[in-house]
Amino acid sequence: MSRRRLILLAVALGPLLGVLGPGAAAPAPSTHTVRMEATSFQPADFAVRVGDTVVWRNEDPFPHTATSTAFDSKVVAAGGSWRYTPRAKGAFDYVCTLHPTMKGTLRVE
Amino acid sequence: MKLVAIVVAGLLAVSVAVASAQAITDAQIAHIVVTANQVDIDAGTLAASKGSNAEVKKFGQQMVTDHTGVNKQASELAAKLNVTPADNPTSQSLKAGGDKNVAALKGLSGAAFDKAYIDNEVAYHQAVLDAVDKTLIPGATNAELKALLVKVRPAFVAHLEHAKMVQASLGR
Repeated sequence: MSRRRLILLAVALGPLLGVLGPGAAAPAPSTHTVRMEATSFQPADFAVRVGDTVVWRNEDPFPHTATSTAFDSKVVAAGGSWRYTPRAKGAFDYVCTLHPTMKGTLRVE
Repeated sequence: MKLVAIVVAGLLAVSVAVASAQAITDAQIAHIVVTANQVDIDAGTLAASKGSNAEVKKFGQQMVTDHTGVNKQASELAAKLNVTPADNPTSQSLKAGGDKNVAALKGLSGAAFDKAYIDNEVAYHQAVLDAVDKTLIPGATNAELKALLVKVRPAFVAHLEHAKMVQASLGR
């Protein structure tokens, strides 16, 4: 490989290595969506990082809740949504208090 | 018990009426869906005001909210598909059974009302689920109508489970 090609390669890979390298900062918090649809949480089992935001979007024509020991959306109207940003790690089982068959787990890693 | 027997007999008549039909049309299915929801809205409205147990009242109110939401969506879909819901013997039996139930409930009060209402809700949701599975979903021709029925079905399962929970709590 010529010297010129090596330089080009370094220029191309530099930013990539910087992101992936051991000194890189943690990825920026992101936003995830859990749909309340067909009287279920989709996806029902979901993993996020501390500081990420989870948005529960109600796509059914009637209200739902997302309720656990750690969080409680209260009633989310049809077409509405509720957002939550977990600050502590853990696995949180949650339910819709209006529809006892509707269950989910939020894993905060 | 007598009240439940009346309603269940009515629903059996419904399945017989449906089974004897050669083919059910989407317009008839749309009418059955709207009627089935309305029957439960009527009973729920009564329970929300006349029920004595707090869970019974809350359940009644939720039935009003949920079934009103489903009916709104069903009516919007029918309008979009340019389908005019068509009255049929199944809808008529459902309506007659619902009216009988409400009339009987009006004659009761206190714990007797609560028990009769919730017993009927358990039987009714089970019967509606059977109709959804055996008649309405298999009979629906339009893909969007079929999808609506499939999407709404789990709510009826949740209502059935919820009604059984309330029923069990009344027995304690």
